[in-house]
This record gives sequence, structure tokens and C-alpha cells, in this order.
Amino acid sequence: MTSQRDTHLGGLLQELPVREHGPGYWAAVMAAAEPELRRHRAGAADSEGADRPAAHDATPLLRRRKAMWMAAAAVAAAAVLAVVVLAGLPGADRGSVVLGPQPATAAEAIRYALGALDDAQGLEGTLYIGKVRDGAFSAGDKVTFLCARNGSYRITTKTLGKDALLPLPGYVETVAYDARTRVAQGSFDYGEQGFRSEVTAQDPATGQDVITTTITRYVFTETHDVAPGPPDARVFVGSGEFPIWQVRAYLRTMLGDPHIRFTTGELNGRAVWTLRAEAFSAGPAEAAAKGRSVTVIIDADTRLPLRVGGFRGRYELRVDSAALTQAPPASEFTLEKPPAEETQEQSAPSLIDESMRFPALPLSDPAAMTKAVDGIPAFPAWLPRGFELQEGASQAHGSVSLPRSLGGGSIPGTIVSLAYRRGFDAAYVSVRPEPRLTGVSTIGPSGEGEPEIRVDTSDPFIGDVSPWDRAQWRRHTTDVRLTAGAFEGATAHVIVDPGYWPHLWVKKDGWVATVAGDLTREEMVRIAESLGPWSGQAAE
Amino acid sequence: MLLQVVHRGRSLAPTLVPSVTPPPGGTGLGDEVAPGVVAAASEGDARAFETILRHYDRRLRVIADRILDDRQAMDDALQEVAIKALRGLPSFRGDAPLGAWLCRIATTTCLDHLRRRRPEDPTAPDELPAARSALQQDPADALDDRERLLAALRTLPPGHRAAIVLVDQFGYDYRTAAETLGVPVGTAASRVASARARLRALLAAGEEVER
Repeated sequence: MTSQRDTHLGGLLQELPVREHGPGYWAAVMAAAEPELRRHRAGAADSEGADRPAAHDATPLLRRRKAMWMAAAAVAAAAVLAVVVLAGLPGADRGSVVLGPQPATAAEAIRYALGALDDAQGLEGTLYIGKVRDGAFSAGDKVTFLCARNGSYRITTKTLGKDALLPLPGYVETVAYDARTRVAQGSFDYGEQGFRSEVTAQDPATGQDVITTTITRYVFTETHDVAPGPPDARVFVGSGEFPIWQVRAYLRTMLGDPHIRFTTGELNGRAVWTLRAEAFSAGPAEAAAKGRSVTVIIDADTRLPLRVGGFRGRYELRVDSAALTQAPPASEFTLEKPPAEETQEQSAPSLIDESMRFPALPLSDPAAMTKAVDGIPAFPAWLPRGFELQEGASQAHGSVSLPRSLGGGSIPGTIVSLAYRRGFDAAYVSVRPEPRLTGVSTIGPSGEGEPEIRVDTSDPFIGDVSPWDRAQWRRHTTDVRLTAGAFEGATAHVIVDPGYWPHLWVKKDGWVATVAGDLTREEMVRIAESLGPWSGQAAE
Repeated sequence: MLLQVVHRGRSLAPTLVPSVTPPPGGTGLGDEVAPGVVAAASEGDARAFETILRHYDRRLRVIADRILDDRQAMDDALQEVAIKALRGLPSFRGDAPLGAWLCRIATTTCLDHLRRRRPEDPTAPDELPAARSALQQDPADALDDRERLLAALRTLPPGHRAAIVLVDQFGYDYRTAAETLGVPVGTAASRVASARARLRALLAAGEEVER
């Protein structure tokens, strides 16, 4: 039989890798097979001369086989059961085969969706953001993304049309962050219109200002020693604006809402979970649109979002493809510089003062750590299970000015910024001296009959929020009096708003602390209540 | 179909494609399940049916992966294979080994899947130029043997890929391969010969580039 075989080539072919099935494959197959199996069973029961002994003979072999693959199939088997139970539901036939665990409530669905990345090393895909006009989707932005478990990412946003979030014709923006090297890059292509910049200099001969205008197609930025999180906005903002993460923020916000409507169904042949919130605040960009509904459609198989209606208010988000990958190589998170002759290169975003560099903390050197952060109440003794300290950075240049976007004022001492990770989930803790020039910003009524709103601009997150939007921000703030830790007795302000990363801030004794990230309100409070100086020990 | 919501489940190729090394024993050819299991499955015993699928799973994955070269497509096709096999089990007479019978279903199903792919579908086999260039890339990025062979395989027509897998990897004779492919024996032999020649040439070219 093998005489016609090329054994050398056959041997090479034999060594080639073969793809494994995707998650939930066996559950899907068995669910799809169940109707046919039922027909077979019915046929066998109707047949008088059925081969009963053969079925019984199979049992010992089945047991042996079962012993061989039981461990690997245990999870799939559980999923099969869940699927079989649901097999009678409308839309659960072929084409909408339900693969994973099946939620019965909105809260369960949200938790499953938030856990979609628990075991992933990388996430890549493409999505579109646009508007629905006369029933047809008009794409404004195309976003391609690649994210790694360690916090690295590369996100490209391309303007497609007038329904873009930033409707600049021909604009393409790529931002990247390499968590390994803590280098952030941005490459901005302004298309044929170019990027106009003006430099004013004094003519030594005449003493008059001379304005030089240059137009380049590209702007390229690269910054080193980026802090892993607040108060440095560079990385935080980049990932915080990533749509998939924003959808996760939506889901977290929905988690606390008992009025979310949850349904199962089908979209383009895929089984989906639909979560709909009425009167949902769609974020500060749409302050006037409070009450707008938001619909998040989750793929029941991948548990990743497929579509979001009411995204950032009037937009719709559509995921074209999303896939979990193995760990992407680090080279994916370094951008190629555009042609030098067409590029204006900026060593750091103009938003941030050059001196705002955050060298890494010597986390593995207890003595050096004690010296670097002595007495600063920046270290939580408690974190949700699974979170581990991944990055730590500090800035200790003495008194430096903070940009207005970070609340303004000056900082007299050390800032500590810490990033804890649990897979793709991140928790950020920062402590900085209270800026000297912060205060209370008064905002006029945002609607008829509404009171004036006062916002304390000590919140390091509020710097980038327009005064108009701050009113809504304040409405989403819950004040909690902390009962333990270095900030005991102080009032913490917890902001859970779908337009922002959930965060908490509190100030006491000249320090401002923040806790932010993929956390619930309760978790943020508990972390804040465990803050204290460096003890040389990891959090519980 | 730019805006259609589709999860294709594609990975970063080639370095990030989930893969496993074949286990000892290779495809498990010649190792057939007991007739009693087949009988039980044909009577609707879910455990027996799943046992059959898992028993031949690697062999079927080899066929589907080589022909379709896409995990999502592979899973879709093999799910269809499972249902077709289940429907056909009661009439399966055992004239040929069950594994060969399943492989035939898998091969024809995967080739059908490939034909059904729309031209604009990015997972269609229009990646051949990329595969060719992968073979001719800079020596600094030299591919290892397996990657080179994978890249070379991608340059073959799907029917040729299936033929060489059946004959050279699975050890089928031309007649069995022809039956599996649903083509005359002469066509099967011709495809195998053509595939071998092309693979050898491409592999040699790749080595040449590396030197």
C-alpha cells in the first residue's frame, strides 16, 4: 500500500504542525449532531431487530476511550450539556450553535463577556465605527488593533468618511506602546492636506516676529520612560480610548444596573447575547444625549463584542473580525518611522512637559525601593485575586509644572505610578503630591432646573474633560468615606462612567491617590482602603 | 463585504498560528474503532459518536487544515463532515475502513468549502503570491524546514495538496486516493506527481535562497 508513497516527503509532511480546533468546537459539533442523533435513536427504537448487543459491547471500549480523553474533554462536556439544554431555543440550530457557557441573566452574560480574554495572550482584529443612516451603516473609522497580555498594544485608526469620530479626510493614526521597554510611539498621517505647524522666531535684524509655516504629511512621536498609568496620560489615554476597552467599560457600568434587558438571538448566523440599556449615559462626549439607549451585542461563541449601538452616543461600532492569538512578538509594538523628509518628528507629545519622565522603580531591589519611595502611601496591601504588580515608575525631579490637562499646578515631590495586571485586565494605582494650584471649578446648570455643579479639579483624570462634560462626570460620581489605610477618614470620589475608565481619587495630607482600571466600584474602594507605604511585600 | 460582522478567527501567520507537534503514532492509520462503537453511534449513542470523531480527529484535521489553511474554515468544514458522517453511518457497510470513509467525506467537503468561498473572502487561497514570496524572502529571515514546506504547500492547488497528503503522508495507494478525491486514478497519480515535483522545486529554491 505504501509502495507509491514518497517516504521522504511523507515524513516531512508528517512533521508539519496541524491546527487545533477553536474553543468550543466539540460542544458545537455535538450540539449540531444532537437532532440527528435523536432521529437515529428514534429509528433504532422503532426497529424491532435493532442490534442491541453491539451497543452494549461498546461500553468497555467507551470507558477506555473516556479515560483517555476525559480530562481534556471535561470542559467541553460541560458546555455540551449546557448546549443540549438550550437546543430547543429559537435560533439555536446550525448556524447559531452556542459554544460556551450560557448565561441566564444580564449579569452572567456580562461576566462571561468580561472574562473572554482571561486566557488569551493576544487579541487582534478590525472594527468599524460609523453611523446608521436610513438603515444602512456608514463607516467613519476603521480601527485595526493588536493587544498583548502584558499591556502592549498597537492601534491604527483610519478615517474613512464624514461619519468618523475625527473627520479629517485621509487621516490615519497609529499609536503603539511596548510595555517591555515602556516606549510609546505615535505615527500620524494627515494625508494630502498635511499637518500645518507654525514656528515664531524673532528676526535679529529687525526685531520683528517671523512666522515660519511648515506643512508635513506625517507627525511622529516617540517617548521613553512612560509611566504605566495615571497621572501620565500618554499610555493610559491611548488604551483607554481603544473602542474594545470602552465597550468593556460599558459592560462594567451595566453590571451595576438592574434594568438591563438581556436576550439571546442570532446575528448573521451567529448566536449572540444582546444587552440593552435604556437611559444609559453614553459618556461625556454626549452629555446632552443622556437617556439614549445603548445596545451591546456579544458573540456567544467568542464572548467578544460584535456590535454596539449607541456607541459614544450616536455612533455604531461593528466588529469585523476579532481573534485571540498567541503572544505577539514585541516587534509588533514598534512603529516604523515615516519618510524623514515628509515628517515632523516630536520627541514627546506637546501635552506633557519634557521633564515628565518616569524611570522604572527598582521593584526587585528592596533596599533601593525603600529609598525611592520611602513613606509614600502608594502601595495597596490588597488587590483582587490574580492581579500582580507588573510595572512601577516614579518621577522625582522635585518641583515641576503639571500641564493643565493634568490639573495644573506644580508638583513638589515624588510621583508613583503602578500597574497591576491580571491577564488583559489592568489596575492602576498612583499617588502624587496634591498640586498647589488646584481648586474648585464651578459649572453652570447643564439643564433647566438643575443646580450648579462644583468639581474639584484635584481629580487628575478631569483635566482632559471639558467644563460642559464635567457636569455629567459629577453626576456619575459616588462619594465614599474610607475607613482604613493611609487615606482613612478621607472622602474618596468614585467615578463609574461609560465614557471613562472607572476610577477613584482621594486626597489627604497633601497626597492625591488614584485607583483606576478594570475594577468594580467595590474593588476600587477596598484597594484605596489598603494603601500604605512600601513594605517590601506583595499585596494579598 | 467589508462591513459584514464575521469572526474569522484568523491568527497572525505564520508564527502565531496555534500548532502542535504530531504525537507519536502520527495519523493513527490502521487503528480503527471497534464495530460495536460504530453500531452504537448509528443508533444515536452520542458518546459513541463523539468517540468516533475524536478517534479520527487528527487525521481529519490534517486533511482540512492542509486544504483550507484556516482554523475557522477547518472547524466549519469538519462540523459539516461530522453531520454528513452521522447521517451516513446507518448505511455504512464496512466495505472500506471507517477512517478512509471519513477521510473521503472530509476531502470532498473541504474542497466544496473551498469552491464556495467567495472571491473577495480574504481567507480564499489567494495567498499564493505571499507564500511564494515567503519562500524567496531575505536570507536573514530564513524559514525553518517546516515553515518552508508549509509555504510551499500553499502554492499548490487544493486538489494537489489533498492528493499528496493522502498518498505521501497517509500512505494511501493511488486507487484509494482517487476514490477519496472522487477523481480517476490517473488524475490522482498525476496530481501527486505534479505536487511532488513542485514541492521539491520550491524547497530547493528556498534552500538556494538561504545559501
